[in-house]
Amino acid sequence: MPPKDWKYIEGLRNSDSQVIQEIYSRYSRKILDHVKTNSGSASDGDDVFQEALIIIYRMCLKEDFALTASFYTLLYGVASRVWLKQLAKRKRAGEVMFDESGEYIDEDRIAEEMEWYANYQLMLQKIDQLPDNCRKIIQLCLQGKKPREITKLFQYKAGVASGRIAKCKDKLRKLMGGGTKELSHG
Amino acid sequence: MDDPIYNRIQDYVSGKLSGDDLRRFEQQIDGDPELAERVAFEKNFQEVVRMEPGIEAIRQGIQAAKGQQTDHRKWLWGLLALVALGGLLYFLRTPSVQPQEKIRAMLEQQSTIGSLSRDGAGQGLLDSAIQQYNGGQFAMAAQQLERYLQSTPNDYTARLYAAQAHRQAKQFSAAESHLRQLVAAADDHLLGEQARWELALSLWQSGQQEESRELLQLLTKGGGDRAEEAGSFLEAIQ
Repeated sequence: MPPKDWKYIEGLRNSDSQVIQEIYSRYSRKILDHVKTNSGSASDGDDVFQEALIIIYRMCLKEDFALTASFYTLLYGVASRVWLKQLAKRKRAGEVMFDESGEYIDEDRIAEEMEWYANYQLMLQKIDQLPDNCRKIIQLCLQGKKPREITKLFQYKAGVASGRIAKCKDKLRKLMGGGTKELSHG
Repeated sequence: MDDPIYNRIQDYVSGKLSGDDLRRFEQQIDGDPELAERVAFEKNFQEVVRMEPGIEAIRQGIQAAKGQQTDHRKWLWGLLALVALGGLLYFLRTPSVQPQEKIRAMLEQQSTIGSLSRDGAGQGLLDSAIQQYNGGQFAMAAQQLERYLQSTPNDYTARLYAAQAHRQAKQFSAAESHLRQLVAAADDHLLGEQARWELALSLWQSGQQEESRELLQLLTKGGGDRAEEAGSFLEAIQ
């Protein structure tokens, strides 16, 4: 396996912007071409590339992650499955042509992370449907702000922020269908 | 107001509960589907909070790379546009060094030259030169005509032939030397016209395009025997 492939994994783990840009410059065209030759648009290709990279990012954060194929094989494998899922939603899955390298990639792990990503996307979508105040509170929570910081920002009385956060999360949970099942964690 | 259950969920998800507290809370989760849902949601939410900086870095990295590609494309397109503009300007301002087909045909037109009848010892040399010329052996013809002209320098027709032979052999300097002498000396209007025409062609071929163009314009305006050809040539080189 080329040394640069581990550089990509380490770069993703460390959110290294230079490495992410290098990955994009090196591989995005191939992924875009794959999507475009399989009934997709350039915009679909962009979305697929981003989703695939986020999925790989999550995969490589796991302690047991092992790069068993080249980075591109993994990226292509994930991107192909992401696009296949998109086409299945559009009832056109039969149109995807896979060009498998024969190298092993962890199908189950990819499927698991794709499910997480779908749930993540759903959360982002539902956050937009929250009332203004709740949306702001949830967005601050996503940015890692603590209740005491939210108290300060919203000039709440002591102890109020925690209750507001709880109510907003409940609203979001219900918008997401209530019984969001617990997904895998890193 | 504060939500004690929510605070308890937070403690559970962040691993702050232990021992009996942990066991009791897990029993509570098992018996309360609503609480179980809230716990599952909180775990997912905390996972998103944990992932968000990395995901945002990926989004921004991709945007930055796209921006760079766009900048590179803009730069490349700018460069291509500049090259194209330069090429266009060059094409418009500079006559083509490589003559187009029409120009080439006119420059390489190998009109045969007629035999000359002269008294004296030079006739054999002259006949041979004309034969060489009409057979396409221009350098050889030029050489023989030069020898002929050494003994008969005032034979203007032979000098014109020598100039034509030199030009066809791409010996432009020698051709121009003969032609300038002819233009200056020839009383014969027809010979002078032919010499100017040949000189214009030779100058063009040797890269002296401005002088060539001026001579062609004179020939065109003069309305002589070569006026039409000079006009055509001028048109072709515009």
